[in-house]
Amino acid sequence: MIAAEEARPPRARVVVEAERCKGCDLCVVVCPQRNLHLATGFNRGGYHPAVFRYHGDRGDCTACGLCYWVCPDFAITEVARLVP
Amino acid sequence: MSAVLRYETKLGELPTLTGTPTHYCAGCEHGTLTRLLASAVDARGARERAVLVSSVGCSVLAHEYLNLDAVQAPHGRAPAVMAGIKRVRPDLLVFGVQGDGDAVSIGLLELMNAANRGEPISIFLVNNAIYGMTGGQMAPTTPPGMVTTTTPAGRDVASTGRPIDATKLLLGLEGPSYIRRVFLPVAPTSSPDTFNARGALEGEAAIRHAFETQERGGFSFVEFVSTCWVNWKVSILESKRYAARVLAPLFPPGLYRDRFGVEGR
Ligand SMILES: Cc1ncc(C[n+]2csc(CCOP(=O)(O)OP(=O)(O)O)c2C)c(N)n1
Ligand code: SF4
Ligand code: SF4
Ligand code: SF4
Ligand SMILES: [Mg+2]
Repeated sequence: MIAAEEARPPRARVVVEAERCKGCDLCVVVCPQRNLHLATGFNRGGYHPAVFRYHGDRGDCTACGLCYWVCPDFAITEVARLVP
Repeated sequence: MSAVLRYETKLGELPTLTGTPTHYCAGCEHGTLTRLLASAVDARGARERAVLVSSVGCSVLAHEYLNLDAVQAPHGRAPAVMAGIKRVRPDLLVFGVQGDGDAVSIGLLELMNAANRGEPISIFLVNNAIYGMTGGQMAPTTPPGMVTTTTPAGRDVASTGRPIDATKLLLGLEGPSYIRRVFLPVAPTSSPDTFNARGALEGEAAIRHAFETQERGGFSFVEFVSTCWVNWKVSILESKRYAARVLAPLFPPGLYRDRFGVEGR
């Protein structure tokens, strides 16, 4: 079932510019579907940058944009929707 | 056979953001506010005629991040600088970002008088209840009991007075046309690891309304209840919880005045 889900094209896309990110966790805790998490590795600034997955812990990304609005470092540079 | 997938950008680059990495600490509302300001300026198509006045405090370098003409004012003097620019060039959209130390301590007189004169400018106050930039001294806005470097036993209201509410002070004047207070940090919800982003969305709308008020000739003021986890000496998320628990009741968010009815439009 998961495989079939993942075979479908993602309906939304969020771009995180990892080098801008300060790993503050705000995008992680506001995402209703838990599509973002902090990487275990580091960026050049020494932070664990946020990573986006279309299939989140609680559902698929809806391009709601909440992560974009709360990010204090403008590291979420794009929220896009699939053109049907 | 698979068709080429096309994505349309819903939210993306803003012409008014320079993209320069900020000096702000991780998770700080000074950063969040920067994006909101850029978005509201761009929504008005006002980038070419918007002027930022930055103040002394952590917002001192705000002009590095906003692709606008800017003046950096001496400590507490941003309202006078804004008023001067606006009087000479009424066609410009003039706004400033001030901290609570800047606006409510050393610069309170400037703020009150600019507001009382109803200068058509927009002032955005980042109230993080402390002097952030200088390492965490008590501000007039510091809540009772809060430990700061100058109140190591917690703020004692018997000797330092009650916290000053800038929004309510301005409400006592006839001059201002638009006064709103926004709780800007992500706010805890009933689920322990989930926060809401209402403050950022409300904040962007409030900035638009402040600009609209200015362009109709009125003074506008938005206070953003914020955090400073570094100087409060707690984790980032704990600072958001503290703000919701202690600052929100002390500085209740809401619309306090809207003379032109810009929010109803
Ligand atoms: C005339 C003058 N007095 C004192 C200072 C030192 N000083 C720099 S920032 C600041 C307070 C900043 O606090 P706030 O306005 O709350 O800004 P925050 O950093 O918390 O955003 C002070 C007292 C100064 N730069 N100039
Ligand atoms: S756009 Fe919304 S659903 Fe998608 S990652 Fe951001 S917060 Fe989560
Ligand atoms: S909100 Fe921004 S800076 Fe913070 S973890 Fe997410 S992408 Fe990184
Ligand atoms: S010192 Fe406080 S107010 Fe200043 S950038 Fe850091 S967290 Fe923000
Ligand atoms: Mg402050």
